[in-house]
This record gives sequence, C-alpha cells and structure tokens, in this order.
Amino acid sequence: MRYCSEDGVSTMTVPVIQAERLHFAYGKDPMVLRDISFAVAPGEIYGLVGADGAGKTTLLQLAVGQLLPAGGAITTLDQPADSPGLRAQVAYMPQGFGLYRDLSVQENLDFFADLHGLTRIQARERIGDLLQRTGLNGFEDRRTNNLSGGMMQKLALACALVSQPRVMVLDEPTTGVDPVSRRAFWRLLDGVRAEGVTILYATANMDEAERCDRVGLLEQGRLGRQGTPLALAAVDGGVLAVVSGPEARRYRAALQALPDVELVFPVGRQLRVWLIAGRSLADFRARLADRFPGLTAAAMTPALPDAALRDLALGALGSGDAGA
Amino acid sequence: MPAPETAGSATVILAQGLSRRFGDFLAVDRIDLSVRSGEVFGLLGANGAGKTTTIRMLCGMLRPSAGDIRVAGVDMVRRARRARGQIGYVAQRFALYEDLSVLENLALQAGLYGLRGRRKQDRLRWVLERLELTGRQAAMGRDLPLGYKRRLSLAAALLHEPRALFLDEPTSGADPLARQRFWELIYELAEAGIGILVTTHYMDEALFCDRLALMQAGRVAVEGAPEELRRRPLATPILELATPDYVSSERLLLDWPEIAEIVPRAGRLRIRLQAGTSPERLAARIRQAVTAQGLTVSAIEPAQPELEDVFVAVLEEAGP
Repeated sequence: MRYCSEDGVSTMTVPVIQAERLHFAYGKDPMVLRDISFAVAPGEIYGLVGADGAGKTTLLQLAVGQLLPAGGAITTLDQPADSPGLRAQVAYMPQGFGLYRDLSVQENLDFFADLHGLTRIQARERIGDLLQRTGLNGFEDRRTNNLSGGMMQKLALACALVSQPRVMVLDEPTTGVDPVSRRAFWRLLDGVRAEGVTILYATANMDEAERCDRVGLLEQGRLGRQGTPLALAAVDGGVLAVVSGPEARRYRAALQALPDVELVFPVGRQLRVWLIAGRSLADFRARLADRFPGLTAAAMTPALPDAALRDLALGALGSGDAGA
Repeated sequence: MPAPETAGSATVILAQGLSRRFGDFLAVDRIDLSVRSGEVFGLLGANGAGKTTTIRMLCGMLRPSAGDIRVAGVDMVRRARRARGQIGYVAQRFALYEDLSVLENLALQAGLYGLRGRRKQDRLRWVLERLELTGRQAAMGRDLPLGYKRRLSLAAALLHEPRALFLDEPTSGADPLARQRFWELIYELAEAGIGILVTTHYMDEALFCDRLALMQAGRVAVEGAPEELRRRPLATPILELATPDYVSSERLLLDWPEIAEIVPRAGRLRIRLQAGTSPERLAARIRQAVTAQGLTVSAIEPAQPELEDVFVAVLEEAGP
C-alpha cells in the first residue's frame, strides 16, 4: 500500500531517484532545465510528461548519468547518477530503442548479457525467461529490422531487463505503436514494477500519463505541478464544461470573451470550456441561454488529458508561441 | 477544375472492393470506404493491419490488385494523374527537402502541381499564412522543429486546393497542445469542404472523427460514428474499482480466471472481464476479497466502455 496522500510525497521512504534544484545547459546555450526537484519512491512508476522540446530526454540523460548537471544534484539509489557502480542497476531505454538493427533478436540479447558480464549459464536462463515473458520466443533468429514496432519495443524492454536492474528509465517507448501493442507493453511494465523495479517514464501521451502512479508536468525546462493523475486532473477550482450545438466551434472567440471563462478549446465538433475558479456552471449556462441560445453546456469530469491541455494552453498563452 | 459529374455529389473519396496482394500476402481484402465532403474520417487499426497500404492506393501511389477508387468523381485507377490533382497527402515521414528553405520547398511543390504565375503566388501566400509559417519562410528544412515540419508538409499538400486530404499518423510523437492545434486545422479544412481521411493511434483523436473504421488483417472489422461504436455491446464487460490501494488490489486480482485484463488508470482499476462473466456477481466478490485484505473499496461499478476497450475487444474477437 503506497501513496495514499494526495501528493504522494509525504508517505515516501528513501527515494530511488532524487533531483534537487537541478539545472542544465548545453555549453553556453540558455538553460534547458531550471531548478528541477522531484523524488521517485521505490516501486513507483513516475511519469515525466511534457511537450516536444520541454527537456524530457535531457532530464532522463541526467538521471542515468549520461549528462552532468550544471547545478544542483541528482542521485540514483543514493549515489551520484553518473557513478559507474550504477550501470548494472539502472537500465535506460532511449528513444528509438538503441537496438542493433542488423543483429537478430537473440544476438541483441546476448550482446546486452555480455555487456553486463553475465555468465553463459546466467545469460541463457535470463534470456529464456525474458523471451517467454515478452512473447518473443520463436522470433530469436529474426533480424531486429524486420520486427514490427510493437515487437521491437518488447525487445528493447527485454534488453534493458537483462541485467535485472532495480531502476528503469524509459524515453517515450510507445511512440507510433498501436493501442493493442501499447496495452501489451504496459502489462509487461506492470509486471516489472510488481517485482519492485522503480520506473521513470517520459511521455507526451496523456493516456499513458494516467497509468503512472505519479506525474510531473515538464514545461519549457521547468517542472510544474506534480502529483497523482487523479490529483492533477482536479484542477484548482475551475469547472470544465463541454459546449455543443450547431457549429459550436464558430463561437470559440465569443465564448473566450465571456467573463466566466478562463479558456476555450475545440475538441472535435464541440468546445471545452474551463470556467474561472469560483464561477458556477449555472451562471454560465444562463449566460449561454441569453446570448447563444443554440448552445448547451454540460459538466464534464476533468481527466488528466484535459487538465494537462489546459495547463499547456495557459502556459503557451503566457509565453507566446509554443512552437506547435 | 472539378469534374462535372461530381457537381451534385458529396462523396469525395469512394473505394469499392479494394484489394491489394503482395505475393501470397493479402494486405487489403475487399474493403469499401466512403468519405463525404467536409467529413473527418478516421482509419484505425493495429500496426500492419493494412492502413498505410489502403492510403497509398487511395492516393494513387500503389495500384490496387482489384477494386475501384474514385476521388472527387475521378477514377483513380484509370485516370490516376488527373485524380491525383484532387488530393493532398501527408505521409508518416514528412517529405521535404532538408537543404531547401520553407519557401523553396513550397515553391518546388507548387511547380510540381503545375501552379504558375499569379495563382502560384496567391497559393503560396495562402498556405504560409494559414499554417503560420510566414515568419519561417527562410528557415532551412533541416533546422525546423518537428512541429513546423508537420505544418510545412500539410502546407505542401494544400497548395493545389485538393478536394480530399489524406493524413497518415500526422500527430505521432506530438505533445497534447501541438496535437490539439493540428486538429483545429483539420477541422477548419473540413469546414471548408475538404473530405479528410486520417489515421491515428491515439484514441482521444479517434473520438474527434465524424466516422471511424477499424481495420484488422486487411478488412474493415467495424465502422461507425465514435458514439455508436462506444455503445456497441461488449462481450467482455468492464468494472471500475476505485480504491486508494490500487497497487495491492491489482496484485490481488491479477490471477483471477474471470478477469481478462486490469488496466490501472488515474487511481482506478479498469477491470475487463472474460466473456460470459456476470459483472454484478464478480463486483460483489471483488469487494469482498479486497476488503478481506484490509484494503479500502471506495466504489466498484460497471463502466461505460471506452473506444480503446471496444477496439481491443473487436480485434480479439476477430483474432490475429
């Protein structure tokens, strides 16, 4: 039983990954990451959620010691993240998987076993088990290049697990993968977590963020709100409404100008409207009935995707173009 | 120059009995599709289900083994050149020249479409403005962030005012806000009367489509409006368990034979049952088992299937 509190932090024991006031820049370029603090508890799946270019990959590379911070500190298993002793305990699955595409499934796994100094007997046992778990048995001789996206992703996971790591760091592993394969991947990941492995998971996909135990929103190099997906979805105050009606989308600007409204965005043929904290749906409906009789508003229970979209949209409004 | 025979017709993309064979492998097997003017049609399916092969045939880049395709009334199989003038296509891998600037990329494409003189200038200006690329005209293809590359590809596909637009996973890897903005564009184009066929792996995007078809092993397994599909009776019912102890609860339920799958989500467990299991009876047993371990059950109740649940179920029914 874990993370019963709203923010999850107060019940934490010794964190597996801990960043304190972390800063990073590439050479003399402007800071890529600023003042980042977070902690990942044992056995937790922590999701780093953010836009392209928000700094997710950089932060992961700091967590596995491939980059060194310009300021602050990041530790993994209580050691500086770049300690050589961590190599066997921390597995990193980079974007694009880092597999040898000319090698077969078996050769890739053998390579990683060799890299981590497994004996031949250990390697055979471990690799056999991983092939079984990932459903890749029967495909040992297939060239990695000829695997489907879903299978490649499973092979990358298997390679990362060869050394029986205590920590896994995954960079957007399911980009371009279909929902069925994505579900299968998450089932594997839940199994890995059930064995006590701690997971740091970067994603731009809100469905996946909802599957993490806790989430931190990374925006333009800063870590915004952190918490359980449930806590983050419950945005401070404001009601979320869905507005529909004939050609509802055309009323976007008009609704944005109403005094109750914080933010409007179109979703399909409808509009989603965040009211300003403290404003009531009843008042908003009355205003709609008065000014736009064709439109109706229904309350929605906000989910993490809505909440994150709102955060990102408000952030972008505050800072000009977000580069979409 | 719209073909006269299409004047009264709202269907811009029409495929009938479309098939494609690669050697012994039947990649697409007798599918029918139609997309109306102003409609956003989502083509979904697992990797390898035949979506990209279908799109490539519809765009006239791949000859069908059998079947008919009409785009804006023009026969794509027999009059491919003319039909291609009616469509825009944005591939999964954006086709743009890395060592040309944004404007040069677009001017080149405009030339390929046969745009000249005043019309060419007008169209270039229109797509640059419409896709908010005006400030970046001089930037080299290679220096563009992914989001701009995505918009440049769409701009290139719109230069010749196509009646039908094909987008193959246009938002793959984009963050929620970028995806949101891209979808706003898609809708604006649909409102201008373009018929749009889009493939995606994101279920929230599938919900934005007016109509969906789910492909499985080269066939259309199910088709309809998103809400219709969500109301489809599911052979494998879903229970939702709300509990602060979801990690322990999941572990407890993992091996139950009545349970097909447990998906943890936002502090709840979505429990998909095996076909034929009574949700009411199992809910009572789950409540009992979880509380017997000293864990808390805040609620357990049947849940409305989501699009992803429907698709996973359909794909499982259809078999691999």
